[in-house]
Amino acid sequence: MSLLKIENLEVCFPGPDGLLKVVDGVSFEIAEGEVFGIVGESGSGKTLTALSVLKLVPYPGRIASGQISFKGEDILSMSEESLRNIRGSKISMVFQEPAASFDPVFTVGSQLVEAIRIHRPQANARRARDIALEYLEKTHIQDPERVFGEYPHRLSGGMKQRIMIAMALVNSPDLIILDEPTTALDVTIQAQVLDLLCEIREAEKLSMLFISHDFGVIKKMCGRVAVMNKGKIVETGATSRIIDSPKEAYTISLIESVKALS
Amino acid sequence: MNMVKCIDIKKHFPIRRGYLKGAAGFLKALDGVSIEIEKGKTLGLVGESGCGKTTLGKIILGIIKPDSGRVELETNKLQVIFQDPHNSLDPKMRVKDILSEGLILNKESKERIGGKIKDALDLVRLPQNALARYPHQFSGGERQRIAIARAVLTEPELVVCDEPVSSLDITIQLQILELLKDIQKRFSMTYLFISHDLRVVRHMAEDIAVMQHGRIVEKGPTRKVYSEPSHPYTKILLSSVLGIIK
Repeated sequence: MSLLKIENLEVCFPGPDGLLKVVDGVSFEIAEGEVFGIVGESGSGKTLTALSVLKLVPYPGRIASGQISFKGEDILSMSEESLRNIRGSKISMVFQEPAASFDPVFTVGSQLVEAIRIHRPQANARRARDIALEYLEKTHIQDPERVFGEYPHRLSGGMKQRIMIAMALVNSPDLIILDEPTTALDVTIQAQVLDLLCEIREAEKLSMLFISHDFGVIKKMCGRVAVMNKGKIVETGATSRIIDSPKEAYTISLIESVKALS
Repeated sequence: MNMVKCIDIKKHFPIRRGYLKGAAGFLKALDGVSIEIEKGKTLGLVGESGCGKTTLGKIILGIIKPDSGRVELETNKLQVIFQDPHNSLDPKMRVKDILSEGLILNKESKERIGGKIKDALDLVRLPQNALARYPHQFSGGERQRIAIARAVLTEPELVVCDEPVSSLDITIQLQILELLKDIQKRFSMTYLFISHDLRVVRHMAEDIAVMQHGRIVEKGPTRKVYSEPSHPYTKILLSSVLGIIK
């Protein structure tokens, strides 16, 4: 059975000439343990597709139709309360901009502890701190004790993104949604963070929905990929097949541009 | 002949800990940088964020002064194209005014300005009706075309391109890079091309300089640096690039 199944998803925003369909009939499935990629240019609808999975489409946008089932449960008909039990626990998310993902007035440690205790109220402060430190170590943060007490602005972008990944992992989720997780990072740091993600995926047997505009990153990370353009999935398939023999006109031109620049 | 020659440029910024306090240390943005760019050629300047590439560009443009070292320029006709076309165009000015501002400062006549602007729009392949519109009415790629038109209008001999395609989608990147190459050939301009993206630099530049922590760690013909990098940092940088062709 697939872990996540999206069928005919439509997301609309009110525009000057009526409703604007920014996600238009998107369907795909992610199997357990799979890393599935969405690649596309800006405005193609990849981020909104990802946000829909957690029912987080920002106002005034809304999910107009479609079905999203996670482990057989229907996400779209769930109450806010049951959704809160899924968000950050069964499904967690890592965003593009590590600097904007943290609250600047709290230490990263207290933010990790908050994420743990929201979903595990029985864990006392000491226990939560131990879990946080354990995950900081798992994401190869050097000197986790010191970093635990630091404020976000005192850490580099690469460090912050490692801590975001730690935060996404602390509640042992089944699925992690990564929305351009390395786009804001330098190439050498990007390589390190991607290696870390590969390692964690092996160790924790995680499934991932990986969003990127960069075919190079997608090729490294994802077994299968969907190419999005103007709200629609143009082509889905094994990443190597899409890169070697794209079928649709849009994919062909995209791959050509990427190849011209590499 | 060299269009630009920078000799042992140093620029250190004081780091202050608290208001009204003296410098607690110095950030060595540039720590003895020497480069030269041959006339009509492109030098690609690559490095990661904070390595000093933009500071070097600004010193060549004369926007900031170096603490020590010399910049020798063969021309005073300089221009710059910035990374973010959303911030580099005044949102309250029509494209017509954006494009004519530099020419008015050069005291050109109204008729000549009108003609030149029309030619510039053709050059960057934007329609003539763009003149009456405002920057927000254009996409990122189109805005970068406007920025390029503005730069070209004053007939510069040296253009500093500071990450000109970094905020654009890849298909648009390719179009803008081709446009920049095309314009360079037509007007025999010299480019300092600053980018963090080694793929883009390889596409554009004959020569390349790799920067790290305010120093040039390696420079040479692009082809040679890419095929036989000698400095360990260049090797790491190149191995981090994720291509799709093996």
